[in-house]
Amino acid sequence: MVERDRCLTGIKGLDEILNGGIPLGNTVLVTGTVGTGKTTFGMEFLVRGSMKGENTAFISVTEPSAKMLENMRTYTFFDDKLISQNKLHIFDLQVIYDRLGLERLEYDVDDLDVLLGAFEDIVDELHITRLVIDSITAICFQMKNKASIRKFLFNLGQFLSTFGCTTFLISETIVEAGVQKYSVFGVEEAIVDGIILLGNIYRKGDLLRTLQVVKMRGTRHSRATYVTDLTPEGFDFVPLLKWGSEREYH
Amino acid sequence: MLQQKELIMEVLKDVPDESVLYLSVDTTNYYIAMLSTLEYLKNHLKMEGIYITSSRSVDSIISQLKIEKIDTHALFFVDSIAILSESKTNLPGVQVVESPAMLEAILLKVKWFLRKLKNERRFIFVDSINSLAVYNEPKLLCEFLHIFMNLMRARDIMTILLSVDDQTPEAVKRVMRLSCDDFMEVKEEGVTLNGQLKTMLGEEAL
Repeated sequence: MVERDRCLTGIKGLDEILNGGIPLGNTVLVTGTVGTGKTTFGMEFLVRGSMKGENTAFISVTEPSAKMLENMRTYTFFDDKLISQNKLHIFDLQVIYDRLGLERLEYDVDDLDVLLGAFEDIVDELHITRLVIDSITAICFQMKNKASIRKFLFNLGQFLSTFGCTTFLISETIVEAGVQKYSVFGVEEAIVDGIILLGNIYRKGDLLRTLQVVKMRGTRHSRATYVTDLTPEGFDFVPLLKWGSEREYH
Repeated sequence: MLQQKELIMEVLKDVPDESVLYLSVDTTNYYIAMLSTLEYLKNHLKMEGIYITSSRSVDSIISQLKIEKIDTHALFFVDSIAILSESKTNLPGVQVVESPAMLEAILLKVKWFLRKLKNERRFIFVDSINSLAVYNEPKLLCEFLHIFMNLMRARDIMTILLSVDDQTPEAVKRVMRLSCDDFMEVKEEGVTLNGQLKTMLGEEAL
């Protein structure tokens, strides 16, 4: 059996859960409800890569990057120098939209091609090996139907893989009848190479943050649920206790 | 003739540095056992340590340790009762867990502190298993203890699990008796280590 090259995330404990890291070039849906740490998780993934000398990029869709960076500065793993040294690139999607003339509520096929072209230029010209789009859900809301979403994500994954760029697509998710869905539109999870589910478990009035790798093509991996801690130094994990694992989502 | 405090410290000399110790006490000896053990580990053995509390908040523990002149340098705390008891939560060297029911969060904070400890001689003191049992079902607490003990044993960290005997569920006691390396009991009549009784008058086998 030939092992695929890996992207070592550098996030404490995650590479062990993934049996040696994310297969290089995989597109991973990082999905979860509000307050589960998706943005911080994505940013730590980029920072750990930049600290090793990789070029990384964060495309902010749901909040202005300046505000997002203010939050990141509360973590000791974050270092502004990575930005000034051009190892970590931050983009506001709104600025990209303005430049591309994509200021409309709904995108047609041509618009999506333009947007994909812009992402491709960023990855190609800046030699990006790690990319985070936060969030893919917000972009998908501007697409006409599920077929458009499917095609966009498929093409996005194709070119990112060609460039060897390991990507986190941050996805907001919903809980229906006590079951946590992996995505809002229901098509994202079928296209991507991996799914990392960030969640909450309710226990006696307290919320515990959790992480579970549901799917990751190209590697064996743990499918257990882990409790996470968002320390100033980044994420950390321990296995969820089995007798305390009744899921109640809020 | 030895006083209870000296007797406890005398018996602790026979506990290896990397042991997982179940320290069972009766209600009247809880404080003396806690303070004597801390004094022995900090003032005599000069160990670095992590104190996990679910019984009283850290500010009251630190006050008590200072009164007893027990060294609090390189002693870190994981406090899971401060928020419930509306005590101070922003003390240096203290990590707060929102409630004693968040056992995994306690483990995460311990792991965080372990990365800060430099000394090879380290200990973890859990105060107390019976107070954790107030907030957690026995089967969940047993699972936690099983993982916790194995985690510490794998790192050669001396681990002391303090519990008031008559407030500890039987299932939890059985797990500790089975999984701990050493079993120490502090009672009015004396102190036993693995069945060997020491009294203030001398030693006798049980």
